Amino acid sequence: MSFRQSVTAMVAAVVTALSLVACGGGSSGNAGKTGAPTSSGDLDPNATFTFADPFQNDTIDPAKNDSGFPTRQLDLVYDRLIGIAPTGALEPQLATKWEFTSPTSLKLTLRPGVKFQDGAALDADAVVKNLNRSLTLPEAGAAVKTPASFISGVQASGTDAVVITLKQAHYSIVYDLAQNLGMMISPNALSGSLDRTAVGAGMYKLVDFKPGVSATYERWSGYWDPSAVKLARVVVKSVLDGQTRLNALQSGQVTMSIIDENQIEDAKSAHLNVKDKATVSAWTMFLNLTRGGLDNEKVRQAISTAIDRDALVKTLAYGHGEPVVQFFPPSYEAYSGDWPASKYAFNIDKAKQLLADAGHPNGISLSVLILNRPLDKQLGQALQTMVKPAGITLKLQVVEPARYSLFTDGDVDLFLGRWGGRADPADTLKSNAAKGGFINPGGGTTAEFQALMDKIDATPAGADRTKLVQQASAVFAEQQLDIPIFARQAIFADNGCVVGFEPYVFGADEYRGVGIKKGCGS
Amino acid sequence: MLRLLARRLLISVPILVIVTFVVFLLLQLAPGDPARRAAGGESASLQDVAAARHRLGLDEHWWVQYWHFFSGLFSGNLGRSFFSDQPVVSAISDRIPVSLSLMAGALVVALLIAVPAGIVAALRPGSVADRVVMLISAAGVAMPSFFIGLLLVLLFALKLEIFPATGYVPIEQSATQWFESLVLPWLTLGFAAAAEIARFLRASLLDVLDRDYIRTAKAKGIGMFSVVGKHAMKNAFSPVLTVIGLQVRFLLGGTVVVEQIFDLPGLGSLTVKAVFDRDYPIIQGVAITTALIVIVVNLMVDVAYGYLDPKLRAA
Repeated sequence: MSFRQSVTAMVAAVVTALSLVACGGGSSGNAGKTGAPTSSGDLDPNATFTFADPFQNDTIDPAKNDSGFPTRQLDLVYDRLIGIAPTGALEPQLATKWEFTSPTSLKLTLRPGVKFQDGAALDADAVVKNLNRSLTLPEAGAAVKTPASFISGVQASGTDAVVITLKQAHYSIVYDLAQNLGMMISPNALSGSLDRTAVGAGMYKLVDFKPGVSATYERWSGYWDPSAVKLARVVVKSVLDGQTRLNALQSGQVTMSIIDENQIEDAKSAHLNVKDKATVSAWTMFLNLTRGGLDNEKVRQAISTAIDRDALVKTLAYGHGEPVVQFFPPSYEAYSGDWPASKYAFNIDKAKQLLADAGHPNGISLSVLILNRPLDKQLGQALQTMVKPAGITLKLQVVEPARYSLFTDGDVDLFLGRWGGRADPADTLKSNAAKGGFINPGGGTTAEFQALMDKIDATPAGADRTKLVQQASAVFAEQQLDIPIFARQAIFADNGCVVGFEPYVFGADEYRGVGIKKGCGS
Repeated sequence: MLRLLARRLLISVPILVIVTFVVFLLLQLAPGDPARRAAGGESASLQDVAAARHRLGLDEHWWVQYWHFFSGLFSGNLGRSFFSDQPVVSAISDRIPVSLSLMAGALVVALLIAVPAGIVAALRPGSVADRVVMLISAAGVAMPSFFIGLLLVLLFALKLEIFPATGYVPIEQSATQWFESLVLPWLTLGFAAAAEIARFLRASLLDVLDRDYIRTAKAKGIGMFSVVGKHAMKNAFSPVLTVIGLQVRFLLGGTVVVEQIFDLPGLGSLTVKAVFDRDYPIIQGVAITTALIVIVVNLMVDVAYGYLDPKLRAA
């Protein structure tokens, strides 16, 4: 639209503004663009996919990213040694095979013929250099530093295999290699700064990176799996505000966006395509078992019983959530079917009785840390009112996100927040409720749970380990080592042109195989 | 006049020093730990946090940290972001064209609305036109900019699909798209400023139009256009200039909200993120930049005073 047309239209629009605003109702949006799934032959090979992301990347260096940060941008440019499916299952990527030759030795067989985007070969030597960087980089963040601390050495075994030696049995390392630790950087780029440049072996090349603003990627024609690359260009824009993201999507500035629960109806009425999936991201009361009488199982069960989870899902999640008493949603493999949310059905009398049995007939008072964000505060206030009749007094302490450490430093009884999810379900349980878990101040746990976690630590990924994780999740749920409230859904809206996108159960969504329909969105 | 400007320039040096010092002290007093975030967030160990604190120089005494920052100013080095490692100067220079475009355009919009509205209202006090102008300007002052912004997006972007709802296109990429991407933010930010300026201009003009020399000009048969444009406005505009100077500060603050609504990558969004992250070098850099903008605008207002009032030129 020309300047003149714009101004003319604007003036005309001012005249009719009030009447149109009064009309309200649904926007015309992108009506008609949504349609039935399209086969890959109908995709536009020259399409640009623009995604509005609520997260802001400060750096594109995989070693420096925050541990709780979604890796969807990094995955575009950096392939990992081990891949991961939307269900959370591990799958081959740069390594075609991996096996523990002993509890402390992992052998990875590399995919032959893979090149980095600068032409360097992805061989055993390159992998050794990459892992050594993760071991020694002083600025490395916890996403890399923590798993790297389990590694005692990395050796090449010929040109196509690598042996990782661990300090102790740590079978979870395969999940770490499917995340930041396993992202392979060209050996030629390892010596320079990787904050704003990236040379990986991934599907797309980074062409522009503006910290906190946007990143632009273009198709890399040398990718080892051309069937996964269906876009000419990917642009990721950091847009913090939810309403702004939805506006951008409705007016065509972006192709897809993460939206909030309360925006689902607006998005649907604007003829946008909405996809949601339950995730390993539950609103949870994280407990400090060394404070406030929370070492008593009955107290924890009393609190859990005093929560009306269905009402919270209905009101705060607009019906788009799943009541849970364990960290995992029912659709996830680690979920224990023995412990549905109904086991802690809302019952004030029972909660009172449990408290009395625990030696608190007159009730208890607990200090609660809450981050100064709208939904966190709403949930805190709702819970405060909800559990009060059972004799549980929650003293809310609202702080800025940067002061979250008040909980891990042991200054409050519990923290009300949202768990971000982990690729390894055992990691979720361990981080939150086992000895040494980073979100388990004081290391409070129970012998039964810890014994199961120790067993999991000594069991390689597979059916046996999954079974043990389910058992641990059941013990966690029974003992309410933390108090999960409801599992959030990952909610994405697109303009109806996007094909092949599936949200991940643990939040690390990827654009592998994502395409745009021909003649759509233009 | 030159002496006045030189004096103002000299005064601005200690102002800048005070600004940097106060901002630095406030950051020291504010709770939160950038070292934890730099060490990798929630799961970082205490040792990693301590190492990050040392690497960022946060384990030094506050006056040493301040001195590093202050001495860097003389070489144009404002440090690097704690988290992106981007030089602060580069981060600000990437963002400042957006904020300056936004502010300058909003000021133009404000003047385009306020001057005719203020004149119309002053020429017919108590008339329907005056009441309408006063009513709209009262609404402009009362309505928060985020509300105006969302209404404009709803109407012009989502309903009429005339302008984009979000995003910024650099002028060097496309002048037309740059303009289109900024129309709604300009209107959002300019509307409240226009309301304030229109009210002041009306009051000032009413006062001037009541003076003897205006009555004499009218008696001489000079047309109303010349009376207002040539004789009244020069005197009436001096107090309005003060308001415009103040509005620039308001516009600077308003960019924070408007940039969020329209997803503009300006200083506002950079500041919000830096404050939440406790990215001290970026916060300091933005504080200095905004202080400089305000000082420059004040100097421009002083120059304009000199143009409008010959007595000041001789001072």
